[in-house]
Amino acid sequence: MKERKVAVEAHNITVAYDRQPVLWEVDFEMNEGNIIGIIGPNGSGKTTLIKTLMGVITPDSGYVEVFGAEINRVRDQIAYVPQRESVDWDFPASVYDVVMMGRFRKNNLFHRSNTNDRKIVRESIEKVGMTPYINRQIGQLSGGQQQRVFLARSLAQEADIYFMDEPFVGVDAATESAILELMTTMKNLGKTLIIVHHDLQTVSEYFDEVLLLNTRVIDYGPVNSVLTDDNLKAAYGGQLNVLTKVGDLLKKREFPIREKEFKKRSKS
Amino acid sequence: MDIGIVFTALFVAFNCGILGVFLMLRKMAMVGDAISHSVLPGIVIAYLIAGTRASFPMLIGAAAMGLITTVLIEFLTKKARLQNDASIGISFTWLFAIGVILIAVFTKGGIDLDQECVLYGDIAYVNLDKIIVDGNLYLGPRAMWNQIPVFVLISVVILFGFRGWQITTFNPDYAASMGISVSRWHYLLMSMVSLVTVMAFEAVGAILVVGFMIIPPATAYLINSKLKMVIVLTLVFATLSVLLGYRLAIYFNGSIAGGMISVAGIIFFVIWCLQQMVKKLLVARSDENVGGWLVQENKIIR
Amino acid sequence: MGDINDFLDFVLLREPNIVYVVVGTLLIGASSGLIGTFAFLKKTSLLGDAISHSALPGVCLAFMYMQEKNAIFLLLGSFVSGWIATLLVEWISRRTKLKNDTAIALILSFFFGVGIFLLTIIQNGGQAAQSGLNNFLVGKAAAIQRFDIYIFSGVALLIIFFVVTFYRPLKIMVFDRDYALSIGLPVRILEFLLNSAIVLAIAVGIQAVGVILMAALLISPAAAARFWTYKLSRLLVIAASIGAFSGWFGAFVSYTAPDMPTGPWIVTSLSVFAIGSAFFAPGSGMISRIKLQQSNSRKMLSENILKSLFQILEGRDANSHDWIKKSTLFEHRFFDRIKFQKGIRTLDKKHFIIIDGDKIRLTKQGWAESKRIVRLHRLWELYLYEKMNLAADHIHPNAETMEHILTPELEKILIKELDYPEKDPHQSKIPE
Repeated sequence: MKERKVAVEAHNITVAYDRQPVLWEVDFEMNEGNIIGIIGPNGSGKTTLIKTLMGVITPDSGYVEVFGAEINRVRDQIAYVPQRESVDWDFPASVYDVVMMGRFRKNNLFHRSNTNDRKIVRESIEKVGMTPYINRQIGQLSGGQQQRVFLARSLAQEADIYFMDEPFVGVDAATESAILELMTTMKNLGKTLIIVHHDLQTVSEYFDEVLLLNTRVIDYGPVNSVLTDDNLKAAYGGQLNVLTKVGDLLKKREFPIREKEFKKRSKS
Repeated sequence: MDIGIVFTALFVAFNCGILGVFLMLRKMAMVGDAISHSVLPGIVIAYLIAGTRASFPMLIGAAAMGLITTVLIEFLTKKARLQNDASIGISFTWLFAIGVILIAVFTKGGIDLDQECVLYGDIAYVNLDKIIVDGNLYLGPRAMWNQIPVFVLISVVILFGFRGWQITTFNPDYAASMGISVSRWHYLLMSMVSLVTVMAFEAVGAILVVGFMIIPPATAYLINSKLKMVIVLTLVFATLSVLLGYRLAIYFNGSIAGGMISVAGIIFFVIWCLQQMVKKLLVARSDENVGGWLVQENKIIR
Repeated sequence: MGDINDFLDFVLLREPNIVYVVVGTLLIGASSGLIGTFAFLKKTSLLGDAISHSALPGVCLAFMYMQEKNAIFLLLGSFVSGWIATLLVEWISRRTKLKNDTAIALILSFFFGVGIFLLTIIQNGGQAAQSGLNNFLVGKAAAIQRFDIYIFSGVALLIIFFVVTFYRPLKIMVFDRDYALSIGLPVRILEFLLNSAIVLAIAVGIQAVGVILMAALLISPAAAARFWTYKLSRLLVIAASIGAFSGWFGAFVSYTAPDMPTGPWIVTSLSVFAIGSAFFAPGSGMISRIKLQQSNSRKMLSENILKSLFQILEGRDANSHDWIKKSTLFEHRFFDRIKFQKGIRTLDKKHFIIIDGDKIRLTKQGWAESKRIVRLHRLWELYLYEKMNLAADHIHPNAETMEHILTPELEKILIKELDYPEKDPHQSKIPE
């Protein structure tokens, strides 16, 4: 068997909003080629975590490496499926327009799309079964169809790691099985899928590995070893008393998460 | 019909409308409003220094003021932790108040900048400053020729950066995940809004600029759902507002800018009512296959 | 500007006319500040901006109908068009895909455009009586007639009465609308009354401030007050006072310098209060927050020095009162030279250390204090290791900060949760 590379490495990430930490010292390595679920209760920092992993949010301390490199060097290898509710679906764009955004890159914003782009976009739309709606305005689609459009857009990015934020929320059964099928196909191609999810029932069915999160990492590993009663109690039985209190103190007293010198050092 | 006035107004309406589409889609309509108020002290100060209207330093000074407003709003929201609507409200009222006071103080010194002009412009006077070549070849008012390079600039920036505007407006987080600097696009838009506001100020005054920025785009957005078409329709509605508004103003002998904005608003309500009527008609017939161009929204396909 | 006599006339209320203007503007300012607080808390203050711009066509139409400046009709006109604007904003944002902010900007500019159009028609029509209508743009308190003052004061008192009477249900509704519904409060009626009060306050307020800047009289007092208190009753009192003072101030300027519009001066006063509070209010103001941050970093520095002293002594297995060279400290850990001098001066003042040239030693209290910091550091490391499953080589940086903030109360909880530990994950002893 081929030796697996580390896809994503988080090194002591702490993220605070308004000085109150929403992620505490998150630290893990994720191997490539897996379907990994990020599980935890509401407000446990799941979305913040993947945004930090993708470099959308800069952590107050710690750092992230993707394929052993700083995120900006490997942007083309990551794709993102944001939460469906995070955008305004009344935006004047068609399915095709949105999926075409998957072909945009930082340095091609002033270009026009070429034949290759157009081919990839059509193929991606085909893969999620949205070809009949290709010119439809996105606001006229059902929730499941909107989710498929986002999936197609990430496929058009032709990345190696896919970050998906709650792709199963508010979708119909047909879309759900379509997403699952896609996930298997992508895994077989050696892609890494990191998926934020909140439904405990389906975890063992969907994922190879899970990261149980509640502002801190409770546990990370193969599904069966993580989803123990103790771990679930730790994750869903409220946050750690001490952490909450320290978080409140940090905010109230305007305290930094890291002393300056440590901030510098961790960026090396 | 005075071609000079109409063409000046047309270019003002185009410039405002194009940027307004993006302000509206970014849910920043009120930020546009704030900027249009708060460039006033910039205009007055630059005017005092340069001594004339529509000069280059006036432009830069006032446009800088627009950027300062966005920074001030952000500062109040993030650093002083004030809620966003209040930050906007305080910033622009304060800067506008300073502008009005400056005018009141210096009108005694005989500066040629009065309150009325600031509030609703005096487009009728654009003809006082005409460009005439060789003594008899009339090329139109200078104000119109000032608008044209701005129009060209905006068209180029919007057209060539269309992908950037699309992605940073629709889904900024997604753009950021690609390493695109969302804030850079934000400030580019804010700079252009400031520039356009300052340029439009003479023609329509500080407050009616917002009308041209929001009303035609809102009308276009109401009935169409392709970004490029929304921009095109914005230009159409802007043209209608300018032409009919000018007629209205001449007929009733009222403010030209006021007339144009009134017409723009009336067009909005007419289109909205038409849309509602067509929708009702369709529901009454319960014929789902008749997809009128007026009712593209609100229809969910199974 | 007027001379000293004008100034004294105004401040001492020497003329009956001045009394009217002062009472009027005080009440206008107070009522707007009061009702504006509710708009502020509901986060709808920009709607207030739209309503006030929308008053202009109402004023103009009322004048066109009456052909004179009749205070009651002008008030009625602005009230009606303000209400229409409110309803239209609500309709547009509910019934179309246009968002709330677009609807506000749309109605604001449309109504104001119509208002300007009508105003210029009136002006160009050349009626002599129109001279005062311009004052509705940026305000002119001094132009208010005695009869007007009676009406405006009456309306302002009505608003104040409304807020006082309905204080409790309004409070519940503003903070938690769903809860208000669940306990059977007539939320819709209350909202209607509140909106009416806001529109009424605006219709009156534009006399002093003008339609363009009226929003400030609603927003700024509440925004300023927010930095001083979190209690609604105090918020209302402070906001009303700031509004009242600013109204008075505007009238004062208008009286002493008749060429000056009132509105901008009222707004300037309001903004000074709001932005001043943002900077200088104790606790939530920026200056005091920056001071707190500075004192934090001073605390961290001096505690780091103490900790280093402890660690050096611990390594040597030496007596707690041994002298240590400053250079040894610099070898042990990086310190900024200048800050280091400040740090040891603070420690000296607190009698934690004794300085002798380039040597330092801990006092008894200093030793206890340094032990406390190291104890917290190691306790926290153990906590990260045991409760948060972090690797032993990843726990140090976080503990470096937390050692400075953990309180004695948290320390007790930590010790208990970790079951009275003796050693940290690196097998160093946790000092007593």
